[in-house]
Amino acid sequence: MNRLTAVAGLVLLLGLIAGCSEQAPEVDVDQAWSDFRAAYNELEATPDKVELIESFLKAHPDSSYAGQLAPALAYYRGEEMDDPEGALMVLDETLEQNTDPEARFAIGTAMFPLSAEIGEPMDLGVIADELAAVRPLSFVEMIDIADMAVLHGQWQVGAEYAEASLAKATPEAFLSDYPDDDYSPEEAAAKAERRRAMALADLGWALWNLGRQDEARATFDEAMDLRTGDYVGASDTHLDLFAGKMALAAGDPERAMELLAPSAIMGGDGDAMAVYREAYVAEHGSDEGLESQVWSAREQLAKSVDDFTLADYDGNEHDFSALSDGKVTLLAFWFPT
Amino acid sequence: MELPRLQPLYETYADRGFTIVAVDGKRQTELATKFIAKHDLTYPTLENGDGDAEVVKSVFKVQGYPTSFLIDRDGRVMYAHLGFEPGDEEHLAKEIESLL
Repeated sequence: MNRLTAVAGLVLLLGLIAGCSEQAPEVDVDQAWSDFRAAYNELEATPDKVELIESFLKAHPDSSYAGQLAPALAYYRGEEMDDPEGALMVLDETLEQNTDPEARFAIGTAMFPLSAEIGEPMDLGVIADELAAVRPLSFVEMIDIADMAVLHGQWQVGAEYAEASLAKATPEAFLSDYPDDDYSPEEAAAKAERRRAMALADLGWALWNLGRQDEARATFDEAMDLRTGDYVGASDTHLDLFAGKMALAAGDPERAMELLAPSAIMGGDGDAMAVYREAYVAEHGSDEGLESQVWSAREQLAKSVDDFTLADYDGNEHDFSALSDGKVTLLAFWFPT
Repeated sequence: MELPRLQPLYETYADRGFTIVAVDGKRQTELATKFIAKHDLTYPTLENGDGDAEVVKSVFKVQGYPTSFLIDRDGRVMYAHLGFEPGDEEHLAKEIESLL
């Protein structure tokens, strides 16, 4: 699973546990949902969660809540229990009985990665067009479709939705999506640029695969100008991954490795690392020596950690440099749920 | 979450010069202290600051949780890790050993 999907999955689950609910017309379904949530919050073991989710889906496949549960089932049964076929079967039955376009979109997008994993990818265009016929899709919805499409070779759909999401990569569109939040004009401009970079990365890789190579190169050039990195310098979009894939496809493995290194080596992006390995083999004939090249790239790209001072739960302040002094340190950011 | 799964790594490598510093990005003091006690976490656990003292987003650009950084003995950030999936412990143990 790639890193963006992993984070998105977690956010979805946490949203579910926190209990963000929508309105549904049927009172008994609302009662069932509230009973479900109370019981769900008591559960810790994955198989127990899966059982409870599936019993709700079987009892209320046509409710809007089915859309909220689909990502959780895809994650727990499909990924944690490594049973994508099982998760797909339950979700497919749910989808067949559900008529709410919002829920159908959520169920379909939760099913798609599982269907791709078992080698029978669904048609993303069908999933997206159904909801798009009822209301305009948001930026997040469009870029999710574009991302999934280009990651799984559905180039036409990828190009179409990446292009559509570009229209929402403006400060005005960003602010209108978050009317209750207090963003400064500078923050809104930065968010809009990041949206643009995400959309251009998807679009560039889709165009390349549709044989529109000059447009693809121009698209990546524009995306690179907008590239932003995380703390270790890895791209916070798919830009490094797709630009690296394009360089490799264009017969330049050395350039590909250079583009991929920040995300593959520093960012721990497994997809980028797989392409980095491919590029290394293309350049050297085998993966012999790969590990030492990775370490030397790491030595070059590594930067010194910033020091900071924070309090523990007894109120005592600690300098990070004193806690980590001369030790190999895992600095772990988390929050309790 | 991943914190309890890090405790065995801490116990295995602490003697050889490895430590963990956990920072709660959301300042949920009560939940965090309960969680730490429940799972018997013995490595340092800190709480993100407020306002100007905030570091998780402003310094480390953390966009999602869990995010962790592996830092070598010279204080250099050797790589970032997003999320926490089954099997990540083994991978992490290998990386820690190569740095010790």
